Amino acid sequence: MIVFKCKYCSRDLNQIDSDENKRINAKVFYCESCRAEYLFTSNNILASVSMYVTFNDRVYRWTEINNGKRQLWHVLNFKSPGSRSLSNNKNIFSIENSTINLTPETVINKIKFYIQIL
Amino acid sequence: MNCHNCKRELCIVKESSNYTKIECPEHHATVFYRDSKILEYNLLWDADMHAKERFWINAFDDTNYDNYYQSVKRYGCNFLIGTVILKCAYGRPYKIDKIFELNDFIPLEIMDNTIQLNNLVPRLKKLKAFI
Repeated sequence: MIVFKCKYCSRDLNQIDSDENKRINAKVFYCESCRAEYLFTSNNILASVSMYVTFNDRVYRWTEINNGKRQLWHVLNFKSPGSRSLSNNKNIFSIENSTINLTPETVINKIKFYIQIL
Repeated sequence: MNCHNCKRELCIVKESSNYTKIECPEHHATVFYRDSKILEYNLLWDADMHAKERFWINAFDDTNYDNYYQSVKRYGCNFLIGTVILKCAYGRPYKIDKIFELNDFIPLEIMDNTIQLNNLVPRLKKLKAFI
């Protein structure tokens, strides 16, 4: 069994099992302390890293996809990480070909900035 | 309505039951409206003339359109209401790259019958510095 570590705090990641992830043939791992979520393809290639942030009683998900796309989502009814359902996730914006790489320490200020100017 | 860039009057280029399309003679702006309500606009924004940085801003509210073809042309954007920013080569507006899409329609400000970018540009400049 492969053990993945969080790239921010180096702790072991917990795998999140859900029917949704099985259906899309993806593996989702989560770091509780960093609120960071890692989405792997079935052949263990990292597809995206997301970070969850609570701001003004709302949960946001910042997603960095390895094709250079960056997305900010409003998670409408946050129960557990890993959900990609569009009924529960409202996309706020997407940036193409970006080199922005946030960390659990910097993501909150960045999201505050985006929410204020948009 | 006059263009934000060259101040020339936008002319009607298409009228249908769904919308009326008006356009700047120099193609700096295109506006779609129905019953005096703006449904969509496309604006050219020269962010930095010296650096030859040129953007297109496409804002739309497709919930008012009956025509499917309106939503397929949004540069691969799935939103029904949104704003898309495209970077285009200076002097070659047909060569474009989508850089940003926002799930919100930013209203078009019109003052003295002229399109204003006052509410738009400061926000875009801030965004541009961070993306």
